[in-house]
Amino acid sequence: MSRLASLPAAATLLGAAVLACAAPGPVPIVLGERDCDHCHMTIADPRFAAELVTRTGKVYLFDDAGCLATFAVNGTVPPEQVQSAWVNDFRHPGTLIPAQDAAFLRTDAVRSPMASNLVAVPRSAGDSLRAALGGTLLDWAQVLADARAPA
Amino acid sequence: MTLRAPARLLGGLLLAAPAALPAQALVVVDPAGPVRTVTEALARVAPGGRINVRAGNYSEPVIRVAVPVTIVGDSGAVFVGGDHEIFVVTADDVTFRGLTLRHVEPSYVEDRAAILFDSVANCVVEDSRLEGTFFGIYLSRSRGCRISRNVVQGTSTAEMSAGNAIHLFHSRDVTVDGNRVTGHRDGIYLEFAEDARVIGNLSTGNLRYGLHFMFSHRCEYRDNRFVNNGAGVAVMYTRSMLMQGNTFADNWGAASYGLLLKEIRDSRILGNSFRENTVGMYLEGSARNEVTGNTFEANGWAVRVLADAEGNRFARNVFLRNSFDVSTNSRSNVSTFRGNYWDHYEGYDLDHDGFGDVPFHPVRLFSLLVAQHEPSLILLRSFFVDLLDAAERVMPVLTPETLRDDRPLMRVPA
Repeated sequence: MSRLASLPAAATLLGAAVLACAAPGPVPIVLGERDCDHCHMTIADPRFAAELVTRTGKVYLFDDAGCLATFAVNGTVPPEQVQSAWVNDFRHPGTLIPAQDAAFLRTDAVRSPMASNLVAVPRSAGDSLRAALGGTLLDWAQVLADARAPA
Repeated sequence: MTLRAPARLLGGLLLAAPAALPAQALVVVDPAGPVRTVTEALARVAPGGRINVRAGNYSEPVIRVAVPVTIVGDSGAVFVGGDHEIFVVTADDVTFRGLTLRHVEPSYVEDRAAILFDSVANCVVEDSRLEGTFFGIYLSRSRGCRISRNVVQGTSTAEMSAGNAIHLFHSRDVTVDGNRVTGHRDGIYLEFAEDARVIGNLSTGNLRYGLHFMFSHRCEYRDNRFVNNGAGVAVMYTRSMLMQGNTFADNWGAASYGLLLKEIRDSRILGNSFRENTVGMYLEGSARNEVTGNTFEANGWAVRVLADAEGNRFARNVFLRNSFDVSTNSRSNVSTFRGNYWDHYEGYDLDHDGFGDVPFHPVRLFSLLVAQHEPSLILLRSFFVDLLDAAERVMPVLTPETLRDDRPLMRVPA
């Protein structure tokens, strides 16, 4: 009887444990609290902030999409351990979009914290952003390729 | 005879046109008129003249200053911006004094400032007050300017970024002195600035850094106070700097520091005070710097030197009540420590020459463990850790053998 009664409790506990181990994902960025995991500058401008999430759920934060790209190719986290990479929507800071779904504009019209001058928007908004600011549109694979190339 | 009639006609035209009014050396702007706006005053003032602004609220479209002029505000002369800059200056020799500038809305695309100097020389902003402006004073491609005794107060929070209070871009030979800057992204930011002097400012409560140099060579900053910012000062990709007599205090946070040096060469760090920071001074990829006569007191880590920092010389510094005096991430070390005072030193001075007779190893074994596995910090005050440290001090196995002070001072130098 007592064993039966404890079943719902056990189920609740199990449920809570499963929830606590929810799939890895990005975290909200509190400005001024964390350093960029690549360049060590404090993250203070939400327009350019970016994240990399590993399969084990560890989240690396960056102040510049350029830092994310350099970090992603320098081998600190092996590619097979990367669960997802995220960038802020330049027009709506605080809204994260998967890096592979983003259009990146390299432009002289804005200055990013580490001077990559990369801004990200959803792919559908890339052309209108280029029309407004000027510059070169890239996709995530090209951004990574640039980060791999010696400067 | 045929010549005189057109000449008379021309003269009459000139008199009729407002531009023909003789330019005035002094124009007074007053809400009660006759001149009610600075824009109007600028059309009347003689080059090199002066505009006096009487008390009142002024809200004009962007005020474009294209002649050399001095604009002076009476107490209570307030300019209110909006979704645009308040002043844009494109002439040399323009001075602002005693103005209050308020409210410039943030922009996600442009670095909108209360006062923008664009490609000018010899500009001055002094004794003015800026409140709630996205960027405060912005110098782009300018030289020979002075920004003195202003108060620049922003409204940044953890949710909303702000611009920088004082921002120098591609500028040289600029003096920034006696200002109080707060509530911005960086208090004072210099990018591609050369030969700048930053002296006697108070920078506090900024989201990122009190003062921030990027690619800015041959600059000096002296006698400033950087208190309670996200982190104190970051100097990056820069050479030949002088950093003297500054106070770096109360920069607490998981990854906060008083002074971050990244890729800094041939610079001097003299007589500064690092007090109550998570990390007092952090060196990465920095070489041949002289660190002399500084005081590191009550920091978590007084100095963190990464292995890629080479040939930095530490002398006559004072280390007091820090949890860790020096930490590093490797056994190899190529920086030298000589003749510093360490309150953790337990040696003796039998020959009474003022220097300890046995070397001091400032890197605790435990700090290496913490560098590799931060949560182990919880064991900081445990007996076992003290034992480990003592054993390592007698026979260094894991800590950098060359990172030691062969001539530790017995007393705090005067």
